[in-house]
Amino acid sequence: MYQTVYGGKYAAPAPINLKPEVLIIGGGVVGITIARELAREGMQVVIAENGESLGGGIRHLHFFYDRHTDVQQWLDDMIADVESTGNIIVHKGAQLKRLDGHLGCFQALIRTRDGGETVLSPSVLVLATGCITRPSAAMNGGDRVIGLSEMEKLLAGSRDVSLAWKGQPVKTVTYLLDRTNDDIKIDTVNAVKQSLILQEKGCRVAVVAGDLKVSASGMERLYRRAREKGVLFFKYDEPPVLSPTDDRVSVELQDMTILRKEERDTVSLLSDLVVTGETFTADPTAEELCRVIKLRPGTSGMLMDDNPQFQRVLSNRRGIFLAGACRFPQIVTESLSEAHAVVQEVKALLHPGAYTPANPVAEVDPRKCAVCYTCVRLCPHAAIGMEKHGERNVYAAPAVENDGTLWGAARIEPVACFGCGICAAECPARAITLYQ
Amino acid sequence: MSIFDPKIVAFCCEQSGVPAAEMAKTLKLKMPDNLELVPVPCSGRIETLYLLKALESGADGVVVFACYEENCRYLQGNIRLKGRVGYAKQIMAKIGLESERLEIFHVATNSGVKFTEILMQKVDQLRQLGPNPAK
Repeated sequence: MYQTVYGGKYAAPAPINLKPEVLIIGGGVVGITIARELAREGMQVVIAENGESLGGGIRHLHFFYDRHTDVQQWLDDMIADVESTGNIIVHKGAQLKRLDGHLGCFQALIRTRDGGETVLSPSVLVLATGCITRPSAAMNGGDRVIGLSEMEKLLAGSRDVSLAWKGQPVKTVTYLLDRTNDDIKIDTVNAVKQSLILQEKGCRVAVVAGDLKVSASGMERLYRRAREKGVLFFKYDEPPVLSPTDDRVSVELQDMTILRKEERDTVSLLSDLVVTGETFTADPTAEELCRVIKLRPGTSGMLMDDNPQFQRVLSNRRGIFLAGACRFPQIVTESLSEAHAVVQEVKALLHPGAYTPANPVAEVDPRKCAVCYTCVRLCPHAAIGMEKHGERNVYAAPAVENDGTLWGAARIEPVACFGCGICAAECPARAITLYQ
Repeated sequence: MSIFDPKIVAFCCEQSGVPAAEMAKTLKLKMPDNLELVPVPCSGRIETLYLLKALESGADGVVVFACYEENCRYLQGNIRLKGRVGYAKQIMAKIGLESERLEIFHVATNSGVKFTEILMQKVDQLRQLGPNPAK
């Protein structure tokens, strides 16, 4: 309950109890990993998965680049483990419709597709909604141009037999990585990984790329092995031209080994199949989710922008964490390390059993508050709400005596306040004080 | 006649300006003599009135050291500040104060050298402008 006397002194906010309960939005590989590890710590975990089954975007992946495990088998084992663990509850076809409260006492309304509604009160929320992979814009090359995911499926379907596309054997494959995903390394990782598998099947593979992104653990080694095994790598400045011939596709590009531009020859790679990179978009529910959770959407519809002041898994609200591809498309190894980071953060936060607001927090004097909602709109951490107070404020007409009317006033939740002072500076009634 | 030594009030965001000032101090860089540093938790904490009051009560120039945009720990503090400085400048233009007397500078935690360079440049600029007529 609010206890401030007009002109009174600041009382240190009371600690808030934290129950070991966590709600995870998104049952992809990241959500599952976090759930398993937190459940092992004895926490109560609820997974709200939008789809009809667990797994998410990793269902399109069949090979890891850095280990010889079958992805789907590995995933199925994890899902079986999650579903047999007692303190993990999975809601399928579920969406978060409403979120009130703050760290320690969130009130989350989950609606499943069959109309069922559940109200949960988790201490901490983890978002792992992932992103969506789409094939790049259609290229001139007919039906012999496919995306990386399609190639992955094709390879998984012909593990022990030789590769065939529409009944015809595939002997030469060219990977054409465009520049749309310039700071994302998924394309490079998948192309190099798949080209090694193809090479083992006896195909001739060429990778044509503007730049290869090998900044993942073990990727340089993989690239070197691909070169040693005979995969051809070509760099381009100007995008190569695709021209379909009667039964193949020809990829024509400039020979970049010659330094003088005008002397460059055209190299043409005749291929049975051309594999192109893919584009990534935010999950269609991400925008709605941002609105419900009061998170700031980042660029291109993803969650949260890059900000050096935030660790990658932190969000602008205390007690809400982000992991995996919902912030930007990333490879599984990266997503898993983010998942582990979230597990560490959640454990560190919930382990003491209580949270005491430590940093300077702002406080509203309800007597001065004019209920203009300026602070509510401006607070970047969604820490301010409106409450009814008994105290009469200075805007009441002098004739009105203290007749027990409840006056509205803003209230800053000390647990959620980060102490930036934006509200204190903006309050037109100067009703907010930032206590150090 | 002694040289005019302008008084500068520098509001420093605790995420960027304060560490930069500390770094400048550690490096023993040359700082203006007549300088007052005001640490604030976020540049969004600075009110329009703070800026104008500083000019009213004796400062020849006011500078604000804030984080780079999109780097704010509180997401939009420095954007709020930008709006307030713009408003303060409008008021200054109305009362006939030069807009150079109030300026935002974006620094990072490690820009100790840039921090002092900005201040020394400001001193030169204010020397040319002369004392603040409003004080």
